[in-house]
Amino acid sequence: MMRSMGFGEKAFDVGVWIILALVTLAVILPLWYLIMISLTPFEIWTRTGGSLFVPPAQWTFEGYKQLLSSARLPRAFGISVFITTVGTALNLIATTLLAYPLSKKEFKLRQPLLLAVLFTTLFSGGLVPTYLVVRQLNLTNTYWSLMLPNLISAFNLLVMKAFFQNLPDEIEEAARIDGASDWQVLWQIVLPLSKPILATVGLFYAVAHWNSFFDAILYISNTEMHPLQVVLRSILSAGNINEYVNPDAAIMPQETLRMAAVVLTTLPLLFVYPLLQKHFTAGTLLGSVKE
Amino acid sequence: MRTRTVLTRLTVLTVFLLVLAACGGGGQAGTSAPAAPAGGQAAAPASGQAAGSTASSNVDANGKFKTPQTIEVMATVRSSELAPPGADWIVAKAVKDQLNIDLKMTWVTQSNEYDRLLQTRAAANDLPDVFLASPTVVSNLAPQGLLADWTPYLKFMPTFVTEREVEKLKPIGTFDGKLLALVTKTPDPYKQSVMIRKDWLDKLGLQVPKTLDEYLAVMKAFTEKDPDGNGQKDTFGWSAAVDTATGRLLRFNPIFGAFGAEFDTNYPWRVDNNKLVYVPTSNERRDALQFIAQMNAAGVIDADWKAQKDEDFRNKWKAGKIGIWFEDWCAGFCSGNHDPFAKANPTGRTIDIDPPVGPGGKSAVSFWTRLNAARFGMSQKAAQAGKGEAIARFMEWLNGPGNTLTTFGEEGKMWKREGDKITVDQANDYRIVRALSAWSVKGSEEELRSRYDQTTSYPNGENIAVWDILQRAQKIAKVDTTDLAVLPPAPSAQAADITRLQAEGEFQFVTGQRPFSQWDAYVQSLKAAGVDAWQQAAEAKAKEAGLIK
Repeated sequence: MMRSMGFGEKAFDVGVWIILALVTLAVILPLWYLIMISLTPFEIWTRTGGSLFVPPAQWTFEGYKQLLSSARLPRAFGISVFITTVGTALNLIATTLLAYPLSKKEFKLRQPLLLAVLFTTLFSGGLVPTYLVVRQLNLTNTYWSLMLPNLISAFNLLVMKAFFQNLPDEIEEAARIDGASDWQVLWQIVLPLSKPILATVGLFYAVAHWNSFFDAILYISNTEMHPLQVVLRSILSAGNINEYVNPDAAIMPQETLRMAAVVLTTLPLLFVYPLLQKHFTAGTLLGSVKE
Repeated sequence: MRTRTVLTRLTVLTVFLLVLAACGGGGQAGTSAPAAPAGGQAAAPASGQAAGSTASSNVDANGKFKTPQTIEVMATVRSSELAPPGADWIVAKAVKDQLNIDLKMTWVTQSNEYDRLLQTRAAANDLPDVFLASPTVVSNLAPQGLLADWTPYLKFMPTFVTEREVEKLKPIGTFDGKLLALVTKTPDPYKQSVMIRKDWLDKLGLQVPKTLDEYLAVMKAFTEKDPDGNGQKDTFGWSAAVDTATGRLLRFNPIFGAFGAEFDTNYPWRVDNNKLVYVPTSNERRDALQFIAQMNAAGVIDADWKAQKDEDFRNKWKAGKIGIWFEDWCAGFCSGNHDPFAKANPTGRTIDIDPPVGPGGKSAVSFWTRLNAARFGMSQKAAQAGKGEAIARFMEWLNGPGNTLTTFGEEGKMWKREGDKITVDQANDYRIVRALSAWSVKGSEEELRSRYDQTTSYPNGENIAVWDILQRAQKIAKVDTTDLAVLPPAPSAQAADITRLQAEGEFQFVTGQRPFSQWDAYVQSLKAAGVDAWQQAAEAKAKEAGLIK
């Protein structure tokens, strides 16, 4: 039977709920505001500075129309999706394959390799050497140039290694006693137990790929291969230099357009979060082993 | 045992992947990096001779190459909201047909990333064959031996040299006796002016202000007397912004001009009594800052100015909150830009006026230079590969036979000549064709009229003739800094410090965070930060160029 809660506990709970509600509001309100601005006509925005509740009768989809009417956008969107999905998959495979052996204490090269990885978190070759490597491998103007550099992020690797280390050895031992090979242990035992870390690290990688911008303009000179961020920013930057725009060219409602661009670029990733959320709770292992 | 073999395999695989990933690339960086400057410098002297001697035998009587040439051109697109031209670009086709040159275009759609991109490629000794570069980038690249001397190729581009005043401007692009940057005259007219709300003046019964004091009085009236009649105190006499990148004060230029304290951020100098004066630390600058501090204390500047960007500033005057402001006249009056103002201000009337006259009788809207802000550069690598002549003939083509095609597109279809006026069709597909027009425009009256000769009537009753405004702007008082362009830019190691100190200092003085009694200490801190060394270098160059004796 459940014990009924005392007044103090109830008050505490209510306090927690209020704080959580406020935090949620603090996160949601700016997002809501920018969605509203993206729908507010320029004249109203300039007069009122925008508000949290714009009557639907005044809504304008001009910003979205302007952005989406560009023929470059659907293609750029597809390219971004491709880079994000394929790139993240490659990232996860490579990071797992390095993190797993490094999590094993009996592995002799563990220390030197870990040091090599740590070294890269402190010292980086920088932009120019990376550019040279990419160019000399003839990767410029290929999507590989957006996926292979930074294939393994040292930070993500260390996070994943720490997670693998915390998996109880007994589970792997039990699997081996049942006759599982190393690959089977990795794919059938370790990885299924590692969904939380795969989701977390995968999301880090995915966000980085989705937002990739400067590497795209650096490595890819064929503008037809540019991802979403590059195309969107070039559409937006036109508004900032409008004294150079031909006088007859229509000037876009800037604030509306900028907010619409933010919404368009954030939404896809925003939809991915809830899908992955269940994996973030790392409770799958609780109670599975008694030591 | 099995665990160990699998682990070894996994490790080998991942180490391989790690090497591919740039984070493990220290060794590769070490081997590649020295090749860039060394290769560039070692072969530099040979290139000029090679180009001069083998040049002309390769072209026929029409200037068309007998064997196909390829050049890589890096450029920003003219209209970045549109896609760059594709493979069927008529300009590239014409270059191929008429010159037998394959244009390999590298389009940069992000003009604000252009310098970084160019410098990264320079550091990797992978500069494009021909490109535009800012004065600062040119002075960074020049000592590294990455830029080719244009001198041996100028003979292939005679009309370009004459019409763009290359001979006259040679000293500015010359480093150690070599013409490493092709400096040209600007194709743009002077674009700045001061704008005022005429309807507010009329409503409050005020005259167009002329002196600084009159300006301040009008600003006060615009702030306090509710000129838009909405019953709220939500209007301001003046508006400004702060540069997001550097923290510099923006949009106060005519005020500085009234004190003789306006300067070109690249060349912040003034020649005064045979002396080179560093304007940011001059007494005139201090007096101007004091006046702005007075404006700020009186509350006549837009309340948000300290935190707003240039775009925010533009939205403010379009929304009808500002009485007087400093603006590019096309950003203010060209139809696409003025339209939002006319819609948001049903009774609004905007006119351009003369900048304020200061206590010493000085007046200037802002600085201006007769030079094209960007210089043409040719990479040493391209010259060594024998591409110099092809590049020069391409530039000549842009100026001559290919000029109207590159600037306006296909005649009859994308533009028409009616009498002495060119009418340009602004359809998006046609604007894409004009992507390289920043390289071909020359600033002729015909060209300027095609862009700016427009009169528009707005629903709020305004009738604006942009061509008249353009002509007034050419005659208005401004600080000409063209001659100063021979002077060196700030030493690159100290440039960022100097900019930051100066921007922070000026901001603190005008906002009252720092009293003017600390002016001398501020001047000393700037000198110590590198201005002294810069001044010495600039004076030496100024003597050499005959600016001072």
